Amino acid sequence: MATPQAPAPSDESSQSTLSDEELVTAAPEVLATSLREYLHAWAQKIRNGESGALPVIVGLILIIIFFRIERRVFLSDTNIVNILTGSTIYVMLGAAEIFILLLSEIDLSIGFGAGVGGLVIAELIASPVNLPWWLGIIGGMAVMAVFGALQGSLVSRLNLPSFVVTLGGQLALQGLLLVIANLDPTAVGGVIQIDPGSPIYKLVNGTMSPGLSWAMVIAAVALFGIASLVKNRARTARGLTAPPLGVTLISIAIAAIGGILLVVTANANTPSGIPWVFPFVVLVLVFYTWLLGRTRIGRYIYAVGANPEAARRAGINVRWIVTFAFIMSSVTACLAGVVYESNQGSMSIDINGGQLVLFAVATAVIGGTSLFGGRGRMFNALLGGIVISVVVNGLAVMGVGAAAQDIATAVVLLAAVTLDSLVRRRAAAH
Amino acid sequence: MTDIDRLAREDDAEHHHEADAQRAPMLERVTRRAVLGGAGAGLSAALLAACGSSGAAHTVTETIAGSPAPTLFDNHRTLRFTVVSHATRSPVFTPTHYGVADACRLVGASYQWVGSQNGNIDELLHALNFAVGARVDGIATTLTDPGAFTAPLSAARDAGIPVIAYESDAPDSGRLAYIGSDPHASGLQMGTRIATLLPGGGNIAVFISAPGDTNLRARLQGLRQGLAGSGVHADVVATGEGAGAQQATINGYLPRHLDRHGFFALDGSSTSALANTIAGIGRAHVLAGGYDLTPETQQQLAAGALQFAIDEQPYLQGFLAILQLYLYRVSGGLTGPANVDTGARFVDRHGVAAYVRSQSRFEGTGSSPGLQPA
Repeated sequence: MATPQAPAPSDESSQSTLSDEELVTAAPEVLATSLREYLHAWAQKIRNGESGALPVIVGLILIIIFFRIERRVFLSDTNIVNILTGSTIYVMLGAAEIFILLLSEIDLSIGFGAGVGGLVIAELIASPVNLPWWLGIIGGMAVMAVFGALQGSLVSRLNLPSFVVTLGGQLALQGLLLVIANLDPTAVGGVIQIDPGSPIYKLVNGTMSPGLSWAMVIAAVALFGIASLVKNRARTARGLTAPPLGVTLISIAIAAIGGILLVVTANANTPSGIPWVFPFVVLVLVFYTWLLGRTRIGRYIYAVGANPEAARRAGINVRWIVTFAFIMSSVTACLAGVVYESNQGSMSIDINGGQLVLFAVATAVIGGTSLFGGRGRMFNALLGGIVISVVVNGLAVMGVGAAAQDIATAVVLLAAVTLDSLVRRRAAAH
Repeated sequence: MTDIDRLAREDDAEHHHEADAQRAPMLERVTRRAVLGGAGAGLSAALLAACGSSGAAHTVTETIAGSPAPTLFDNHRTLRFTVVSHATRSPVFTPTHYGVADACRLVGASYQWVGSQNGNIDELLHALNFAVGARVDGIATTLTDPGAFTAPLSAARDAGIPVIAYESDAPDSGRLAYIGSDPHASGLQMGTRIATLLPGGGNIAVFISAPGDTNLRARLQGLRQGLAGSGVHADVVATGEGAGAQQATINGYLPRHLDRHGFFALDGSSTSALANTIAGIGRAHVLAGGYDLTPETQQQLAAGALQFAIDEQPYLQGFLAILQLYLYRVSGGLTGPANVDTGARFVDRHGVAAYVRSQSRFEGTGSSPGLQPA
């Protein structure tokens, strides 16, 4: 899986100096003018080893079929919603990790970063501080931004290995978690409840009405469709390559079918409707995709990750880019903390930050982010998070113990990386 | 109406009357000399009804006819005791309430059952201060905070009023003795038991009511210690104070987290709520356990939906607290207060059979004296 992702190619870069012959090998779909040609070109890409997210999707389907055969309840409405809800914490932490993996670095602190961010928020919105929920979230994000800036500065200015810096960060955050919990005498042994009336509690526990669920999905699919069509038209008008109309329509149809299935499932569940956390996570991923793909600082992250020396020579402030990525990672971990505490209805010092960060790396890697920097897409965290959640949930539904769960998750992760490596080797051989 | 329902209704009434009672300059004393013999089963219920429905406004006094206590101890004055609970209407305290009532009947004392319905420290302080101001003969109280109760207990000591802690302890508060189980030890045992149930490790959820209860804090610390190194990770979830909030929290949590290997609760009311939720979703093979033997918990233990519940003998806690206070008074302070560990007994599906076959005041499932068939 790793999706073949050029380092944030600008539109201008599409006007390459490659010959048609070279293009057919490198990106055959670029020359496709019809749906048939496009599909043919796509098949050729897969044969060449550029399989994108396809192996992960195929693998995911096979895993789902396996669990469905083992346990009928696995694909019940409730369990599907549970799997998707359970994936949100992995997706958020995976997104946090992607900022760092794109730089060919790693952040081991984000699991407990979610803990500290979540606990700061929980304390700020509870008695005696009683801040409004949104101010509490800003407070938690500010604390984690400072922490991220500190880690980023140590990595970028002192050239310390991120592995060591963030390992220290993980330990420091674990300690900070206890310090904050001990400050609050009303937290029972380091556990503080999230007020069930708070929007933070309702993020995961609350659902939209069935009607609103339909309206939101219809609006989202319509927006996606219009944006795709307008973008393609604009590219065609400017003489740039664009996928044939049929391809765009198929992708819109797939999105529509997915949306319909989601709403039907969520509305059949109790409580009915889509949990608020779904659009929340999607909006965060949309924003991050825009940030990485459409802003200068985002493209610089890809550039620095692909080749830091080249980026430096091109005049990019590499130190700032690295620091910025660590700030984004820590702030996103804080948002993951919001999802976590909403899911639990509480925040406690027992958050399993050590395991969560490993699942975050797995989410990013299964989603196609390269561990060697410069390649990866935010939206694929969704795929990676769902794979992790399916494996964890499916094995639990089968009644398998934690030890076997951990081993199975490791096998899925290794299978993903191995497959990725194999298809890439094949691609290199061509 | 079940016994629990009755107590809940009574405590509602108590709640309403409490403010009036605490404004009253003197306690209104209602003394009912009941002759047992033929009075039978309804008597105890009437006793609780009387104390409950009249709440803090009334003091309950009943003596079994022929009780040798006044003669034996040469005390012919009716001693007045105040019993403070941080969850007055919780079924978890029903046996304690019965224990208090029975001990008072045994020795011919009167008592008030007061406190807070939801662990509110201010309400507990108010109840304690009021008892000290009323110059009662002794106070038994739960001490749910390590430092909050020092002032009223100091005032009680100055006024010569003995204070015994039961169920939850604050050793530095100035109480004379503590009657209850060692919460850290029982939490540790629970952790060890869970680790035994999950030999391959696992992810569990642990429910705990809030906020700040010293007893629960110690249980949780013991639990964490018991789970250390076992491969079992616990996500701790606060369920809030009040049966309604706890039930809503666990009802919402459980169906969304069926990928957990087990669900456990560190307090009796959360355990009851957990038992109800498991019964509601019809998943008998969920690994679960908790504290105290409320009727709901007993049913789910018997059905196999809960693997264990830890019994800390709440009846004994109330009973012994009154006996100790009484002895302290009649001996002029020469004897009485002594720490008593009421233990942490694991009751499982087999062990609970003896409980569900009977109804008794000892476990809060019946109001009649002794053991009655269920």
